[in-house]
Amino acid sequence: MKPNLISLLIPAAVAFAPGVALAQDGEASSSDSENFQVIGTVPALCSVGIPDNSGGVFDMGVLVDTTTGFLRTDLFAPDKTLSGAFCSSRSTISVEASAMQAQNFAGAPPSGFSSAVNYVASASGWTTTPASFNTGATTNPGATQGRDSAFTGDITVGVSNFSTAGGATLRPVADDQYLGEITVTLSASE
Amino acid sequence: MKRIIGISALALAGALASQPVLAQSAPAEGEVTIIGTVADRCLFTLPSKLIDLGELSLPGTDGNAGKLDTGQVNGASETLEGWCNGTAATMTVEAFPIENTSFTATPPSGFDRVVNFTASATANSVDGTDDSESAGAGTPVAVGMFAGPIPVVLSGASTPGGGLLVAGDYQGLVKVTLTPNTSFGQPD
Amino acid sequence: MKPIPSILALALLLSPAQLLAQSAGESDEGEVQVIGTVTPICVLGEPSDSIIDLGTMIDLSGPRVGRIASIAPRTVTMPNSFCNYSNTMISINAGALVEQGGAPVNTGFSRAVNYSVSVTPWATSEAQLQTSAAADGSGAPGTANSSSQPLPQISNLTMELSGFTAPSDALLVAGDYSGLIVVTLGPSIED
Repeated sequence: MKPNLISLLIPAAVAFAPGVALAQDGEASSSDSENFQVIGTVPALCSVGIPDNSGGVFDMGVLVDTTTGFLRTDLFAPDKTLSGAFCSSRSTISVEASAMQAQNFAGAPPSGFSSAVNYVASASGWTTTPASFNTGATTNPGATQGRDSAFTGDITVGVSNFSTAGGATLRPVADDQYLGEITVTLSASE
Repeated sequence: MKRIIGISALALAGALASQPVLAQSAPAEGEVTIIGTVADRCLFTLPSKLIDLGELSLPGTDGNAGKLDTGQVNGASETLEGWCNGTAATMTVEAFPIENTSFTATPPSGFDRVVNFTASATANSVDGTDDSESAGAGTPVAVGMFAGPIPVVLSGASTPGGGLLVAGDYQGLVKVTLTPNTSFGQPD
Repeated sequence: MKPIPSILALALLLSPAQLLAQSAGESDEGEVQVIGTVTPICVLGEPSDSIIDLGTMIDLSGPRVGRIASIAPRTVTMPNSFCNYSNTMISINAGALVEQGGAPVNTGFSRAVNYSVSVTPWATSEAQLQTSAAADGSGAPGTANSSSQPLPQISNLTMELSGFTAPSDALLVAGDYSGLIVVTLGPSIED
């Protein structure tokens, strides 16, 4: 025997703020409301992230082929990673690099020799086109690249395309410290 | 108590009839005395009136909003009508507080549900008053013989705690009693 | 001989009709009934602030650079708020702080900051709300009500905002953020 089902009309619990007309200015009514605005700001901010623990140095080792005295053609160093770089707004990334310069050699090198090694430094992972700087070029239009939105990611810094300053026919002077500097800059642009 | 107002006549019993009939030259006179009484009495010819004070609390949203608006009470009045026919009539007034009839529990701290006031009634230019805060009627006053309006006026309104008035319907009362002199012309 | 006119004694008993219940000598009462009314009202006390400015919301350096800073709770008071009638409640309607730019948000970022807001004291179960916007700023404002206060009440209300967080603790997109809170004091909703 089917039990008799008596359906009770239970008023639905309506979850809305009491829709009583707000009190007019100076008049009280059975309900009263106050509005509050909560505000805050986040400045445009960039952080180049945390370098990996390989240290901030590309150690290229011995630069020359010791049998010929010319620059090695197989100079290689693993990329370095800046993890967790971010900009809270649209941004530009730029790379600036200086040629590897023989630190203990002063003055102009003798004929047939060079005291500097050029290379290309690049920062990739931030923009579609990596920012890159060729220390041997007169202009580096590609050294600054832009992103049009807030972004976070890893920046990979690499070095490549080593060449003897002045030409491949020159030999690098002997020096146990050739030094170049690479600067990667993230700038927020609002 | 029935009061019989009658004319009692002296009955001349047959005493006269028993006297010998004499021939007289002057007419014979007899007297009938008529007496009556009017007892002291008071009566309200217009015994009931209503004062509607409307909204009792102060409007707006400032610091006094919701408290007693004394201006609504003080000066409110209505006029009864009545008379007393004796010189020793008295009048008493009894004021009952204006109380919230919708909310009868003890109000929370900061709230009141009672409005006290002073009522005054005037008969024959004599004022009788009473405070609603004090139980019982006020002191009787001698109004004497009069017939006419008896205005009743409220004043001195206040709340016990000076707090916010609880919402609801409020009701109070002013009773005016006219009492004739009771030492004359009363039935046994 | 003339007959003697006899004087008849007349005893007349007149009994008047009982026109009045009251008899002479008794008091008579008149009454003036006094009536009035008090309209039910609720009034929120003047807020100590209408704008709650959190200032810069992120750490500018350190391990949490770019992420939401540890923001201390903020309070706003509404002293001497009251309802003069029974069965009332506080209702809070609040939305997250959202950056208004509208551009899409990349992975790892949020344009919303969520928080918890309460308005107390009023009833046994107080009004408290947690906003729940997503990182892209979507999500409607929420509403929370206190339980019903059965008696008329005066209260120094305090609204507290706390627990400011970004969804998934993401980096926050640069810009101006704002959110709206509406506090209502009024009749309880029937359940």
